[in-house]
Amino acid sequence: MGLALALVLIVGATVIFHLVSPWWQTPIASNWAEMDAALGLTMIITAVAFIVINLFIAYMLVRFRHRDGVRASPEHGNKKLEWWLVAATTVGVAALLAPGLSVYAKLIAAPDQAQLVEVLGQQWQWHFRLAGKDGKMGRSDVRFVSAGNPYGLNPDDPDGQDDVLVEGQELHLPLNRPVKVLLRSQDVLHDFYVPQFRTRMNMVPGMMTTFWLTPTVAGRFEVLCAQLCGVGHPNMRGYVVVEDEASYQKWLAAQPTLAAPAARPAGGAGQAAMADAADPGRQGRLLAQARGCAACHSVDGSAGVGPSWKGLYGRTEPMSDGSTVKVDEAYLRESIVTPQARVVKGYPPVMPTPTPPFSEADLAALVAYIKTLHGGGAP
Amino acid sequence: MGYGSAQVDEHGHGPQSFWTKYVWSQDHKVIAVQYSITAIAVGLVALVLSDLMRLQLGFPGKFAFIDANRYYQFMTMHGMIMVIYLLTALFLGGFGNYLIPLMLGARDMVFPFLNMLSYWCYLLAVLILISSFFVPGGPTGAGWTLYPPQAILPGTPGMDWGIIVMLVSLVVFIIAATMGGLNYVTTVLQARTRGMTLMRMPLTVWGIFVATILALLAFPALFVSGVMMLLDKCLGTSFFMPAVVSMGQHLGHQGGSPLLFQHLFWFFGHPEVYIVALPAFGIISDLISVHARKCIFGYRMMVWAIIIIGGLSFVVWAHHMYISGMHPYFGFFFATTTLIIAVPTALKVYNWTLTLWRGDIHLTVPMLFAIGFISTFLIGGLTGLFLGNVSVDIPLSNTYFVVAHFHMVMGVSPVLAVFGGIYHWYPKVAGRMFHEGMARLHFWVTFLGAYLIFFPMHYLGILGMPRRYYAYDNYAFIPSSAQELNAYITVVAIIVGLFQLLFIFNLAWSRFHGKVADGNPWRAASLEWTTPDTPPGHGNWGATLPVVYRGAYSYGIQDGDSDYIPQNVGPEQIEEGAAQPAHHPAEGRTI
Amino acid sequence: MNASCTLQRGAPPGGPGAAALPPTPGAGSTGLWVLIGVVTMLFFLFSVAYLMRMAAGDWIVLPAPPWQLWCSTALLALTSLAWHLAAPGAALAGQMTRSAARPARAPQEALVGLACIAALAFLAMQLWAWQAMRVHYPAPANPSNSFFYLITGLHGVHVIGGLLAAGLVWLRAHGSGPIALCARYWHFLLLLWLAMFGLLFAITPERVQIICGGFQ
Repeated sequence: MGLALALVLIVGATVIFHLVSPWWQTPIASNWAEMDAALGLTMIITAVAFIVINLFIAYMLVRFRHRDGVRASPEHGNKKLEWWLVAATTVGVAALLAPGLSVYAKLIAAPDQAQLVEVLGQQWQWHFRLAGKDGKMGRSDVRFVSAGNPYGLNPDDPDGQDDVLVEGQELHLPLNRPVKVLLRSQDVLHDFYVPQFRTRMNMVPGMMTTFWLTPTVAGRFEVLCAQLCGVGHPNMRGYVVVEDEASYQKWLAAQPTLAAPAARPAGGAGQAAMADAADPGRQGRLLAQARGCAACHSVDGSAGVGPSWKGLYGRTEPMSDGSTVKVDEAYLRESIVTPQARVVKGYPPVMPTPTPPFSEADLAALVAYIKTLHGGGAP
Repeated sequence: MGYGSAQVDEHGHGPQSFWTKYVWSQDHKVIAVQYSITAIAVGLVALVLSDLMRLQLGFPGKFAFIDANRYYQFMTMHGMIMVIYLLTALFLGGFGNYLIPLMLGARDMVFPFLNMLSYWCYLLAVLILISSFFVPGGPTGAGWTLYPPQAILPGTPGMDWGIIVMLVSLVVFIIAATMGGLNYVTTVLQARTRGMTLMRMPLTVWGIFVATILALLAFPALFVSGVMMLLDKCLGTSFFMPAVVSMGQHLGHQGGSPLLFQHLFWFFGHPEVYIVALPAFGIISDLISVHARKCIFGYRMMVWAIIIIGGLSFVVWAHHMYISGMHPYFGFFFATTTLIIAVPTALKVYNWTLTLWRGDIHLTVPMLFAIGFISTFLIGGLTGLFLGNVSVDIPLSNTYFVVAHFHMVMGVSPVLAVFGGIYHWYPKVAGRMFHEGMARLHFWVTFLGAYLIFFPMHYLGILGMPRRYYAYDNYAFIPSSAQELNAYITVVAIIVGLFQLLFIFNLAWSRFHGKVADGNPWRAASLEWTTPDTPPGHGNWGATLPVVYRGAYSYGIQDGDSDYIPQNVGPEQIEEGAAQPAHHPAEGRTI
Repeated sequence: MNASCTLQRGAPPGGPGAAALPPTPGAGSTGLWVLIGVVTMLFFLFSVAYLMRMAAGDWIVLPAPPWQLWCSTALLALTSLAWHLAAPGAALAGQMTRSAARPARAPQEALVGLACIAALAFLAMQLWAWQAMRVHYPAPANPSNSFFYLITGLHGVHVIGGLLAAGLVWLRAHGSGPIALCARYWHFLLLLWLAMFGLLFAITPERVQIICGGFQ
């Protein structure tokens, strides 16, 4: 009896939960509303099955509970009923499969005029590249990847000279224009996931994968990595900004290209050697991004797995063993080369020893970069 | 064979020591208990690991010793232990070993020495796995799916030693499982007693039998992928490793395919979930029919459903790979096969339900768990329809929807079947009844707790929260209420976890203080309940093997004193008017 | 013991340490078929992995097989032949009475011994082939090399397993059943070797491309 009641309560509670739950799909920002419709249909059909069977069981638990003197029916089954149920289930399953597959057929067929956007995944950050004015992306290969060429672009390919190499972790897309996303990875599996876009795909080193969509809602959306890619997986955050055509063009014009990295102090990700005097921390910054430091150490003061580098140089840091340390060059070098030697208080001792070890030039570059990150305040 | 010795006891044994009787035993019943205790012990370790994960998810950053590295290590070990070292070992090595000979009327497995070897091999595999906690770098944190390239590259915990130890442990386990599997399959095919045709076997045996065939054919795929990954790691080969730049360094690999690993892994991995589910299905069929005093509805179709599900399980694997980047056309094929496999599975759910119709339902503890199984397996299977349908899967893949789905369908319902099965057969194994009150409390906390934990989790997945995240720092699309929900789920999970100790305590306590059970307290019709001794002695049947005259589900008998007929009762004994089992005058008739 | 017709194998169990029960008829045969099925599956999956990797486009074809492999193939065939001759001989012996079986045992034992020696020679020849291959085609250099060592090595492991079983049979001098089972297993190892030999050296990427059509 209690169990029958429990089943009824479970049915009631789950239905109520569904109706009042604040946790539901994010508002859709792409053209794939059909996927939401397929989900909704599946929800209805499965909900009906869940409710009916649970309530039926609850009913039977009461109706056919043991009573003295009453025995169970001797029946062994009912072939006809079984076949009817099989048929009904098959119809239900087909009703789910048909819309699902028809949406899928559209998902895998990107329109020819879709704009190409490349996303390159790396432990633990994103790089974005757009075809330049020639509409073609330059060829790339992982063997070209280096600290100065994180995209692995083939320096001899003329098509790549005007490719737009987006600065930072924020990609912009124009509203209402289909875009085909080309996905690559230079190290491990990643997944470019924007919940509001609905469609997404894994990024596999050694091959290129794709998906396509048409952004239909303007806004700033978060990109999450959705395939476990190591300890920095939850920190691999990016952004996509969908905006009207005019704003998009303005943003696009400001992005560096391979041939013309922007002359702003923040520097571009291009290959051309820039005077280090104009950008003293550039080499160190590129190293920090290439070697994954940026996954745990922010440069804007925000909290991360490790202490932020903003204002780090010259600060006095408390250590986990109770001592304090003034952050100078020697300390920085020590904490890069042997990170487990001393750990800042309040942070987990998870920094891996850099493998391969940094060369002397690289160490100097990193330290120089950290020194350029001024700004007071606690980490 | 030396029977004539004066020292031989009534079973024909020579002098036995504690070691030969309980440790180096070749008796399937002892081996089954060894498997079960080892599996449950390592399962408790995995349970603690899951609670540690939940502590981090519910109260992020509050427990300093659970950092990102450790979180992923706990997560990987939790998953691998639960799926392989607990569920597979317990259903096949525990339930299979104990029940197959007894339900078939055999004296033991056909290869008892091999059987013993398989247990010790399994134990070795467990010890190797546990040792990964003590190697430099700790256990691997690559997720139980162990995907390359990350599993063997810097950035993933345990990439130096942990992954090697894990793969070695799996290879040893697969050898153990093959040894055991040979036994189960051959015993079912060759050692059935007279009259026990395949279509008179209880569904528990059918479930374990087909699951064993799946295991024998699927584990080689894990072996293949494990060996190849070991070679990639240790010899620098490039089976799965393309050219990569890892942490700024160009590695020497080239030309390998990470997708090849995924295909091989899931070619194993999907049958694996049916290796866990099919024995559970079989056990539930038996629990429901015994405790509702009614023949399982549609026995033949149930057998065919098990066989068809087993066969189809080999052609659905890439539904785990819809967003892997594999050729898109595969999506059509695998979505279709996956939704087809839903049909025989649904049939089983209907038949369990219809068995209750016009039954004589006794809400015993095993029956509680059986009903709990139907309810939780139902929701777990239904959410599978979301994930099997390729375009519905795409936004849900790698989110908490998947986590909730597989916990319901692998973690909750088969575990309820395990509990139900253990409570059901405990009187036969231990000769005593378990403590009723403790068992009922254990059921209610576990059943309701499972819903409380995993039902809301589906909605976090629909929202889009990815799985395998150590923390969710300030995502705009995740409301703060989601964090509160995570905290609440953690609290419930820890409570439910603690209550499992009640189950362990009950088993141990009842062994010595439980009411002495008669041979067949549930008045079940299958053969294992007709042994002359309870617990059954060595050789199971005494001097005479049973003969079988009917199927295992003769319940609902309307005339006569008893509402059931055991399998070994012949027609002539029924004509004599008393539906009593032959050859066992010592067994009481409790109606 | 009860001689009732309801009995199948009613003998009371013997000592606990050894296999105390009388052997189930047919169990060894069924068990061996199951094991053969599992090993077939294992090598089938390796073959599939091999073919999928071969279709990837950067495949380096293995050279012509070193002469040692032709020798080892012959040795494995010899092993199979020896077991085949030993098995019907054993069957004949089994049909005679116990006393008459003794004289027929000697040639049977000799054949079993020959089979085991030929198998050991096979393994030695395989190792020699490895030495020859390793000079120009070391394991980690490219996938086709790695597969060569992996597949032949795994086959060799199963040969060692078969030798262990054969050794037990030889030492314990069991009757016709175990020898027939050994023969079956060794025929299987020969067929498996021929299939793997062909896979490694006779299947080229072009043939694979025709079949697979470039699916990844």
